[in-house]
Amino acid sequence: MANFPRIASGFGLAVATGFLTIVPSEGTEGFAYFENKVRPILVQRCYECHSEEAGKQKGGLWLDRKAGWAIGGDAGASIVPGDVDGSLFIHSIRYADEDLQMPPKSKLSDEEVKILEDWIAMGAPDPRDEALAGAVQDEIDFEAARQGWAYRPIEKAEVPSVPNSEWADTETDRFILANLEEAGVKPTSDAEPAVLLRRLYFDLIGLPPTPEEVDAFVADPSRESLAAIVDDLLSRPGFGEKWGRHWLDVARYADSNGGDRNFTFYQAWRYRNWVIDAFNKDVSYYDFVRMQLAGDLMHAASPEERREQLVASTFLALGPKMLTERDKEKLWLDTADEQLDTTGRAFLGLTLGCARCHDHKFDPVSQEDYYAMAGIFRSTEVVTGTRNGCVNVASWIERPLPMEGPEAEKTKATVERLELAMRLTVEKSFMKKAGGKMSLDNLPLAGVIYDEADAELIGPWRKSSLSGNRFGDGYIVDENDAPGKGTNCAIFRGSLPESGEYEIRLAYSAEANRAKNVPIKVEARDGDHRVYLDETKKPSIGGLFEPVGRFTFEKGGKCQVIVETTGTEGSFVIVDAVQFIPVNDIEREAKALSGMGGDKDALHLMSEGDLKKELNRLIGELKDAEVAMAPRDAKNSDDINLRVRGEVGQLGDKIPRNFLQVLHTGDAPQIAEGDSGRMELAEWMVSEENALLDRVMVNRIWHHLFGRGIVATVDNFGRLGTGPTHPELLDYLAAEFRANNGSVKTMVRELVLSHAYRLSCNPTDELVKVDPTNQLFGKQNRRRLTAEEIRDSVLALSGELDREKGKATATPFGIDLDKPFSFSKYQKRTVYLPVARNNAATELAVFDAANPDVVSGRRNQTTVPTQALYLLNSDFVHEQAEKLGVLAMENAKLPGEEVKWLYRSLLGRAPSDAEMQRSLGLIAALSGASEYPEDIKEACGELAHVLMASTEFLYLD
Amino acid sequence: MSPFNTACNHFDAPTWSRRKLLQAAGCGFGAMALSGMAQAAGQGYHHAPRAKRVIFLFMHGGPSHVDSFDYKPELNKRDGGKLPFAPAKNLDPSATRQAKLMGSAWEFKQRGQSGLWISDLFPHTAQHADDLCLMRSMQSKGQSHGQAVCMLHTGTDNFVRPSVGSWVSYGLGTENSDLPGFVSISPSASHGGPRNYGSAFLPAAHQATTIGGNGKLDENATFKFLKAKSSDDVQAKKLAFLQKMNREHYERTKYAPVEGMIQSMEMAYRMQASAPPVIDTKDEPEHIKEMYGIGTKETDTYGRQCLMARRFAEAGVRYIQVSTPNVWDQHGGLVKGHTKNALAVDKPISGLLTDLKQRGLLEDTLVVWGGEFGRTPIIQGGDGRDHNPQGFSMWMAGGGVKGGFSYGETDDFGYYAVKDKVHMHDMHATILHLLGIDHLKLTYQYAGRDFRLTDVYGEVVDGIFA
Repeated sequence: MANFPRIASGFGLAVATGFLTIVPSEGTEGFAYFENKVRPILVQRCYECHSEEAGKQKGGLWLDRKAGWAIGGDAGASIVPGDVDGSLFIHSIRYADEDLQMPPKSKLSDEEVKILEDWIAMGAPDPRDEALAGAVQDEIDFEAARQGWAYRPIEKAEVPSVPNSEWADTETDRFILANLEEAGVKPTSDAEPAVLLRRLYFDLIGLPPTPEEVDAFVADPSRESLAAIVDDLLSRPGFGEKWGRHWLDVARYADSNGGDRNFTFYQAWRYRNWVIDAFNKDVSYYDFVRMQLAGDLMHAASPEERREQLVASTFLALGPKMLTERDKEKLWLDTADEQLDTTGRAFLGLTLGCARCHDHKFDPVSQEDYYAMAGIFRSTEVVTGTRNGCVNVASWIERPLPMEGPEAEKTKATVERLELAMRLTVEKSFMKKAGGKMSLDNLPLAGVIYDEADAELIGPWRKSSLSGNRFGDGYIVDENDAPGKGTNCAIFRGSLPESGEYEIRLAYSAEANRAKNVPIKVEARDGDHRVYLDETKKPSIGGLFEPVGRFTFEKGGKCQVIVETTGTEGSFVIVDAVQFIPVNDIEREAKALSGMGGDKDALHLMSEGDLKKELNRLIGELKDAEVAMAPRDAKNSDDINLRVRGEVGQLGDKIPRNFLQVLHTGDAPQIAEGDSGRMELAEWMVSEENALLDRVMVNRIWHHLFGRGIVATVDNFGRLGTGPTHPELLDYLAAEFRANNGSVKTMVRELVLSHAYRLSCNPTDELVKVDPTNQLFGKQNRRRLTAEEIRDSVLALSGELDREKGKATATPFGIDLDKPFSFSKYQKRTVYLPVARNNAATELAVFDAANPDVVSGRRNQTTVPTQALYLLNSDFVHEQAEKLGVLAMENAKLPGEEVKWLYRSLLGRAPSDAEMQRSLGLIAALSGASEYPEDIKEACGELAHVLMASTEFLYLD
Repeated sequence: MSPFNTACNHFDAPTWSRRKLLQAAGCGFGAMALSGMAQAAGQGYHHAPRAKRVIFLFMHGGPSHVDSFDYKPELNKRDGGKLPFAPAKNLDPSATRQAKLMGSAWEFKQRGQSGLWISDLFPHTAQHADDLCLMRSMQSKGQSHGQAVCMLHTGTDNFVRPSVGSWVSYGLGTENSDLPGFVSISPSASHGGPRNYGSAFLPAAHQATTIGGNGKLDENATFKFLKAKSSDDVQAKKLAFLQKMNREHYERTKYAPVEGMIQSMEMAYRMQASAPPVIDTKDEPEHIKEMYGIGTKETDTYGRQCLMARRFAEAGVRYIQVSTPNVWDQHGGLVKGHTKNALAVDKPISGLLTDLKQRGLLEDTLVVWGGEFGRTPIIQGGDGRDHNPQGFSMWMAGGGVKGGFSYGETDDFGYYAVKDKVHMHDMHATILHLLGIDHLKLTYQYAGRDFRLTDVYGEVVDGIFA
């Protein structure tokens, strides 16, 4: 299939214009042909989608004017006058290419096609000389874009001086106050100490303070005591568990693939725990980013560091994949797309995925930018082989972690065997289906192979499939005792893609009753050659192919291999397949084979069924092993072609790997041969040149502490995002962040100790009037507790929360996470429990946990009846409420204390008198005014249930 | 003490019954609950609708069109012959090398007044030929189930996008504020699972509420958490307390989501009462159940699914998916497998069509039947067919489409769609159009751009409109 490369716009214009001037003006005859024959077809069959009249220019192509087809659409010039076969237009109307058939609904009649072919052959005379309105796309003005607030270098703004400066505790406060004063409003009052403490605890560690902790702070709500509490919270493991979860939302973390096959990612938890640890250890954000993009490529000073780097790079492998995609190039490109889009949103707040099919419509990201970066990810391997033995189901890569002692070697060997088994499974199935001539260039067996079915047979031969060790469906055997034995032969006529030296190999199954002297005639460029083959000896390559010599062939020249039977009376001759392998490829093939344990491994001789069993066994063996789900640079690392309209099969120009032009003005990186360019990408990503990195991250931190980012659309800093409410503050914080070497804890501490953080959620009347949507942060924003906070705090209150770190919690669920599951039997913090794509545990799904398919820097807060039904009727809420009822009674010496305990524990405050009366009333009504503790306990549980379902519990002030 | 402050506050907690609550819903807080419920409000019609709701009968695994709705005498004639066409380009070429044609084992006959050719695989459905609008030139994307199933339900083979039902719910809202706008009966957990009935970036209220799963539907299946754990009396007392507390919280905060939650609680409480009577098919007369094949082993499950679908349709649900298990994937054992699968669904589907018609519901209910792709005219193994997204059949009935009509053609062998091709995107555009929605106008802004169900594709197939 011919590729029609996308002509680089400048060049295309020149060529097209050339034609417009060179082709002589057509005589009336040509125009008459156009009017009579051609125009009616175009009007009837093409204008619907390619004319100004219809308002459609699909594929960027106009067909209602000459200039339209001359310049062409996204895929380049459409019609080349005089060149029928070279015109994309003809190519598409011939319906020769499944991906490009026009008109799309029904093919033109043969007669119509002929008319259009003839028209082009005569030079495509076309009188329609309207100008090319709107056909030339606007180019992105990168120079101008670089001056935009998001892309320009960070300049630390001067801290504004404010009259009411005693209000300001920190520099941040001065920025906030300056804007408020400019708008002529004052910030609202401070939150009550108990309210503030509950906010601080949930924001920093995702759990509520105990009633005692509240009492202590209420007794001394000074800034010093607040600072001490902040430092304490920052040092608790809960900080990493809470803030690690924020990052896991961004990293679209999951313990299963989702996509089409929901395989369990047995090793994903290592990444999850690494993220949690990184926040607890306050790892520099720049190291944090670098390791996720290229940890597997980094130099390590110690095995421990190597381990962390490999685990961190799991980031790239975590995405959902369509593992059953049969078009493997599409699978690779889709995977690269997923990595690129995630990288863009997570680190840069840019929707790079939008540029896959065309230049970004809103942001300064061109389609070339996309493919320049996609080349880096296309050169990064995360999918490989086959997961479950079905050749159509790909797997991912697992890499051994550094270990001491014999265990290390064993794991390494198991991983290698798994990859070999996965690869062989693909090959076996491939060969079984492969009847004959085909290129196996992505398999160890390279070159061109002809199966016995491709041979011309002379004399008596019989088909067989008795031996399982064969190529293709079967093989042929000569009729040993039939008349004619010794005169029959099988002729293979080769047709080779290139001239050169080839090794000829024959496939057969060895047995003692085979002939030892099978005569083979090879007709090559320099004449005929005669060699003999001993079919009693086991073939040396993969147990299936045996080389018989090297010969030189001319492309299109003489090329035959004839298997004869002369002199083989009394034994059988087997003919299975003939392979022509270019000598240059033999080394490559040998390397591929030896890289997978050579052809000595017993796996090579296994049947497909046994391989599948072995595959499953190895996967089972590795699920708890010391391995990481990590990427590696692909063997075929290289620049890739732009894809016209994002279609995998529509190749455009090759685009050198590079970073985003809007942020990077220097040269494209020098990427060493065989490298993906990820290391270069990672270094650029964290460099000061990339101002977006700091802006996006400090904005994420702000978002989590103030309920809304300075840029509200935390994952989109592009034009369709909201833009910053406080651009100077954003840059000030970004500069601070850089100055503190990307310390998240320092930034969090800075922000929670600001006066702005301490504000009440209730606005003054004045604020409501001037700033109803709180753009100025004159008050704090309320938020709902997250799904994790709801579950964790309830478990903490009932005393059931297991605060130990979780590990491979998804493993017990088996090979996939498709079966419905809930967390009811688990006591770990929610962050440690499995995140199943497509199948979120109820506890997560009901309260808007992040969708692990995409980057989610900001969670939804929906209000749907299912939440109410869950709060009313779920087992978890009922069981926990019951337990709280019991605890309330245990903590009560006098009537009323149980109510107080429940209010203080769940809501962080004591009940009012009216609430106390109402609560006692409910308990009395539900226990039938019983005096028995058992009945009261139960009624207390009902009260606990009500409080847990209350909006005051659910929403954080 | 009253649980809710309503205009018709005429009941007290101890005597509070569900029926009274339902009555109250009609005159009192129903109106209040509606305000602010994302679920109830849609974007509105773009033009007069021909159908008000959709029942999508999903045949998971990909039923063979050349053995059912796409008659190919030439294929039968050339049974065992070599391929007269080039296999699809995105296939591993080895898969189709040495491939041979396989004729159909089922006899095709002309049916009804219209004389549509339909095979004996679906004898009951065939009796409705004059109501069927066959789409014989379907095309889709994705050679594997995962991609093709997502393509069918969400309009994309590799991204996470809202499903058709979610778009419909988002576009039109629900006809019944006590029920979800989109229900999925027995959806599969595999091949994308919930993404096939999920709302993706649309508000969560538009995702399907599910009942049953993986083609199975227990006798007692119901919506999750629908069943109250406390007695009516206890729950009423608790709810009264809770809502008072929540309202006080709202008074203090004036925070809109708090009000939303208050309304959500009411809606949840109403659903506890209003959904079970729709779900529970006990009161259906025997002859109706028999019509759906309920009570007969082979047809019982799909029969109950179809009957439930009718009840949801009747109650005002906009979009109802009815899924078979993933059983149609006959790479081998085609005759046996397809016979068994068709037996399980044929009578229930026929019953559903009859039932909708006799109730006058077929006029404004669009029934759509199909799998994620068809199957190849090429033999696999001794008696199997591979996936065929290049050309296959689906059918529609009711809701403004021509009956006894066939649209589009595949080639003489049923491999490629060749005439009046209907891509899955076109199918989606057409479904939306029938519901009064312009697929170009129903958009949602997310992550930097406006999204629509049909991406940048889709053309309404107006040739099938009645």
